[in-house]
Amino acid sequence: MRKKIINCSLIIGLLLSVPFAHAADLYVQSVRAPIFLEPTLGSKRLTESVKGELLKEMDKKGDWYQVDYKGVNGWISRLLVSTKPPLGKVSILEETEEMLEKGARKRASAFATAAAARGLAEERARISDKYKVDYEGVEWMEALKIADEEASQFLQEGMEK
Amino acid sequence: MLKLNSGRQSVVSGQMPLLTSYSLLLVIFMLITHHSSLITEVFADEYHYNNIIIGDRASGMGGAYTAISDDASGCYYNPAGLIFASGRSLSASANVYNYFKKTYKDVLGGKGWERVSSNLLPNYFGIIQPLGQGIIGFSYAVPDSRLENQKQTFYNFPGIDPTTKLPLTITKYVINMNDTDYSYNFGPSYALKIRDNLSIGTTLYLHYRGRELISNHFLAVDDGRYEWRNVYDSLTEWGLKPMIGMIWNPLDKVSLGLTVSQNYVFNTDKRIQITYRGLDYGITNPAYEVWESTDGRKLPLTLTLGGAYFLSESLLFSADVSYYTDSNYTVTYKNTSTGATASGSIPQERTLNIAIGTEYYLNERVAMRGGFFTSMANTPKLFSGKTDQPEHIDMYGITFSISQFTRSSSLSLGGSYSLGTGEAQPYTGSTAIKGVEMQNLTAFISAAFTY
Amino acid sequence: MKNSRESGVSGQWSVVSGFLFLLLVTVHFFPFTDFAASEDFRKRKSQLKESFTANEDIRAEIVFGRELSARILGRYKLYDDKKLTRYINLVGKGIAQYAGRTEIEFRFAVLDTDIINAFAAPGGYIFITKGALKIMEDEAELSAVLAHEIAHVTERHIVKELNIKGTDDSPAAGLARILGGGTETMRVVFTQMVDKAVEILFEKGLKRQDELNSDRMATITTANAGYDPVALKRYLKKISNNEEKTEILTGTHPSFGERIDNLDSFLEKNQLSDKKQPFLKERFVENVKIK
Repeated sequence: MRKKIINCSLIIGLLLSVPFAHAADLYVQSVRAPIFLEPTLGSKRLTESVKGELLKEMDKKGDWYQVDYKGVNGWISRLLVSTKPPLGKVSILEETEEMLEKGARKRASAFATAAAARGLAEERARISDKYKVDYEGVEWMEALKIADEEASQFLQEGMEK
Repeated sequence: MLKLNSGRQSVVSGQMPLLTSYSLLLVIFMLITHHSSLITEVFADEYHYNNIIIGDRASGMGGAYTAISDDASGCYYNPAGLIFASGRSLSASANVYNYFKKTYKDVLGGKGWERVSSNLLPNYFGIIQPLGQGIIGFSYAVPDSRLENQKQTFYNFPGIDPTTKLPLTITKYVINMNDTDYSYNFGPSYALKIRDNLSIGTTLYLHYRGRELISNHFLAVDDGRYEWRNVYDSLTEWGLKPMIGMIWNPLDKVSLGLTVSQNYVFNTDKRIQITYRGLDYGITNPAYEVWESTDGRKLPLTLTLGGAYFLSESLLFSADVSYYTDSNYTVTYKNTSTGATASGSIPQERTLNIAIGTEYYLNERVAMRGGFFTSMANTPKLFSGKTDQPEHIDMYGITFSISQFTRSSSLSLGGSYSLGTGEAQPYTGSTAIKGVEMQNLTAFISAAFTY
Repeated sequence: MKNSRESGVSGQWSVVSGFLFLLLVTVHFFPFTDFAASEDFRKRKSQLKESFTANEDIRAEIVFGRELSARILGRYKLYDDKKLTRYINLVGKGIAQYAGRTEIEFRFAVLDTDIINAFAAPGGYIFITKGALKIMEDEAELSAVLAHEIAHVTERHIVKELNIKGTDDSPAAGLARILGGGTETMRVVFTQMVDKAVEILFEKGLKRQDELNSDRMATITTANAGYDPVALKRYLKKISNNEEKTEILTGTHPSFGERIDNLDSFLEKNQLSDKKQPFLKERFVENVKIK
């Protein structure tokens, strides 16, 4: 009888220890995250990891993690990584367009949500007359769309000059 | 001479003629005397201190929670831990199902005798919120419960005539029984931080236990004689159970907890009503007796020391060791019409239980827990050559649970299974020792809410 | 019998009280380390602040930021120059890729005013004044100023300053709750919150610590993106000589002296003072043509 219980305990213990094996995983949060030779921004930049990539934490020093990235051993700023995978872009504006691709069933509710969020917000604004508001300006600003890749390329070009 | 069968080496003074004369029922089975003689409070399992594990997280971790205790279920485990709870919270759990089975091997003509209890009841509700410098809480717990229903019939097995001591055959034996036994604890808690890494807390539980047993036994012998007994047994018990606790963090990621508690029973009412028709051929008037007692149980002082290691935000380990002092008390029953008394002393041995547990978060929304615990018998080991010794079963159990979290709530599903084998003396006045196996299975669902 | 039992119980208590006493003595004399100031190690993954900052919270931030932006643009007119705005967005989004919160779509615009300042609204709306652009000399400076504002957004400084307590101490959650409330009272509360944020931006300013922290984070971001890490310091030095146009800025920010000292020590500590990285002066001059 005791043997049975001990066996069960072992199995549970094993089950629990499986996920523990990769507990020190870090996900890159920024689109790009440079990896340095030493835990300081002034040191040599070894390589750049990209958003969502998994890094193995090896050591920690102040605001820096020592990581192993594709065989390169270096330091990455704590600000650019997290133990959770990064979120996708969140927007109250483009959501409806995204949802259109995901099928009709979701569309209606998503559209309603986004529209409601906007409508509600603007309705709220009317409650206040303390400050002048310019929603057209905000929309003008939102209308200008630049993809991350374009901005990334623009930056690259500048740095290579 | 009647043996009080939940007492160890119990001493009985006084005569209880109607119970002892001509009774085949009493002589043959001590098992049955559990339900028909004086000491009937045994089956909610007074032989063990760790019968039901309580709480949302603790249930999954074998109850190893004394050094953690940082949510509403902390009121029950270690009130000092409440100080670490994040804001106001509420926790409730329900045993979806509790199944208990006890099997006496090789009795009743080699057939074995099974006793099964199953029930469903909410076993914890706790609520906490900040008050002044500390945290105040209120909780309700059911640390022990049994609901046993039995209807069983056995045919043709051997027995011994109580007067002539000659062998005979019991042709039919019918047991019908309903036993409900619940213990409730409810009361306030308060926790305070007395320095950066040290907190203290106290819980004052009002304890109530209510038991009601109705049993009906009918027995027929091959020579035409029969015996019948109906018992109505009730018990109410009130007690105060103060607990003081502290939690100390001696090192980073390490927490130590300590609690001291004792249940002081201050009011007990026991009443046994027996309607009885002794072993005979003809029809005689059934006898009727009522026995009463107000002698309360003396429960042990409990010391629990726990440790927890918070390895990371995803993983923790914890362990508890509980020590129960020995205790001894006497119960005296008085016959309400004749004034006759019968009494026996009930000793409980020093007992040690351990619990270990672990909790692992797969991610921020899902956590798994596992644990191991013991529930050791507070009775002595059985010695050969002695009679009427209480049974001794050491239980070992495992627990498992999985929780799903949202921002402000969690829902847990889990279960525990414990198993023990031991020895019992089912026959009154006999030195025979038989094997007994006990199993306890619980499935639970619980929810916690932060607001 | 009775007597002996009672003495047994009191004997137990003396053992226990002795034990407790010893324990308290141990605790009292234990050499305490400073870790104890925080019991953060108790926090489980599900209890961490960031854990449930899910989409709804971010959406709430965006709705809030939009409102605040409408008020910023109500105060300072939008500088309606598509080509310039496009350039600012390219630079801004370029460095935003080196800041932590990629779930936010950053948007940049120029304000038609000669005062020297920049503003950030939650949810990624960032504004820079014409006056600030005029005083800048290269793209590194622009990126540094934008990075400072981006840091206010990624660190949720305004949302935190509003002090909306959520269930798990997450201010964004509180915002989401107000927004999701839907009742008239909640609407009034929401509007008041936006008005309060306007006050923070234009009058009260954020916490001194938040500003200094954003300066440091901006330096990290610009350095990571590859720009001259000293750009923010250069810019701050320049505007410190332009006091009359920056009176609002000095009213809401720590003194320039303090900010420059803070940057100096940070640059020094990270061995960035002498790190040579591009200024991109030409591209800046080419794109930013303000009369």
